[in-house]
Amino acid sequence: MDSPTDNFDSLLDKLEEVRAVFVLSKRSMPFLEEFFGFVRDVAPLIEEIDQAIRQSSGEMPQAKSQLESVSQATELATTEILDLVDAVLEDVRAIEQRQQRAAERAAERSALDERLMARLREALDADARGTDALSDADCAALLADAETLHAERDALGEDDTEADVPDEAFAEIRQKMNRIMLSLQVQDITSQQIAGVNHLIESVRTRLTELTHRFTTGGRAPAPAPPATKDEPLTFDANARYDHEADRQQMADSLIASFGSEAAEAPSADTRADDAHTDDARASDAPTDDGPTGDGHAGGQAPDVSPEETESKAESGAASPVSQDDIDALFQ
Amino acid sequence: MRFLVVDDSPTMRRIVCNALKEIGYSDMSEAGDGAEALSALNDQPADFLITDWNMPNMNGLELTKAVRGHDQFGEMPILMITTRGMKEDVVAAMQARVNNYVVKPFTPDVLREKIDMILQTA
Repeated sequence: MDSPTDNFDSLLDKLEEVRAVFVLSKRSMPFLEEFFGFVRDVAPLIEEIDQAIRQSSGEMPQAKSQLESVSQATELATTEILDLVDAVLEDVRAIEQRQQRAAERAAERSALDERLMARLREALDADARGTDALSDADCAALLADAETLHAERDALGEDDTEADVPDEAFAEIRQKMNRIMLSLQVQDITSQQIAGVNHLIESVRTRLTELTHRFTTGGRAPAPAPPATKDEPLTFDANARYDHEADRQQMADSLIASFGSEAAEAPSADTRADDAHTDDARASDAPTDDGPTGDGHAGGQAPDVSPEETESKAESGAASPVSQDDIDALFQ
Repeated sequence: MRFLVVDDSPTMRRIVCNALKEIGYSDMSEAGDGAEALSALNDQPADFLITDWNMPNMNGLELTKAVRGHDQFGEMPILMITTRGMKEDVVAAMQARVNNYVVKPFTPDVLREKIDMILQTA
């Protein structure tokens, strides 16, 4: 049976343990406070990094898609050019063969002429020697030879036009060369697509660099300066396409044509439109006041969108395609 | 007819000039951006402006507005040749008062058609 002294000693031991726990807590409290403060400071940063990584990861498929588009465009254009080069070489070969045949026939005619001249020369030489070579029989033979040679020459034909290259052949070659020139526009288009990818990569890199810097310095040191080109206006069209589909040109033509027909229907609005455009050109930031009409368009003016809005939308790529006929109509 | 061809791509300027020659025009000069084009117009006026959109220093839209606001050559024909093929792009170009609009890639026939249309209405 435990004595009261043993129980008291046990109690004192337990109290000592509790006291040790409190001492430990007291010593570890500053560390815990610092740790909690660190977590509190870092949590938003981690969330930002997570968001940036998600956003960047989302942009990578777009960059990948654009690079694939570049590859496809260059392959398409290269194939077109090679096909056209083959066709032009074929045309040139046909012309060369035509000219070679003409040259051969001309050579044959020339040879026959030479034989006739030689025969005549022979006859004249005999006559000059006074050998009485030009008897009636000789003359008859000479005439027969001349007729034979003449007949052979006639068979070859006198048509030298085979050496001439028909205008259609030149037109064909010219057309193919123009199509090669069309295909070479791929250089401009793909350079803009690649510039779009570069811009995307640079923006991701800048974003991650800034976040990494803040993470490592805790925001205590100033962030690295952004690239000098960050705020420059874009000089590329990331949505540039190389294809032979006529939809975009048709869209432009339709818009232009419909704009022109609206101008014709409301001539009184043209002056107002010209004034508005002139003012718009001179005060580049001034919005255009199109005024209310039944269909939202002031006669002679483009659809009711401010220049800044349209340019902003055009820059951001938020857009809707319109038929070419509409664009054509606007400019008629 | 004197053309001023404006594009920041030397390749495209060459293609446009070749296409102009192909359709019968021989008098042309070039500029690499809108600012250079304005300077060229002040030095030696042109009769017809063909411009790209996306260019450094001054893009084609800004160049068009600047030309339209000029007392001396504000009414010159302007044809925009660009990769931009969205409705908002065409609308913005019309608001800036381009005379017509060509989407790249283009053919000499399309170029001829648009130039003829502009000259007929001029």
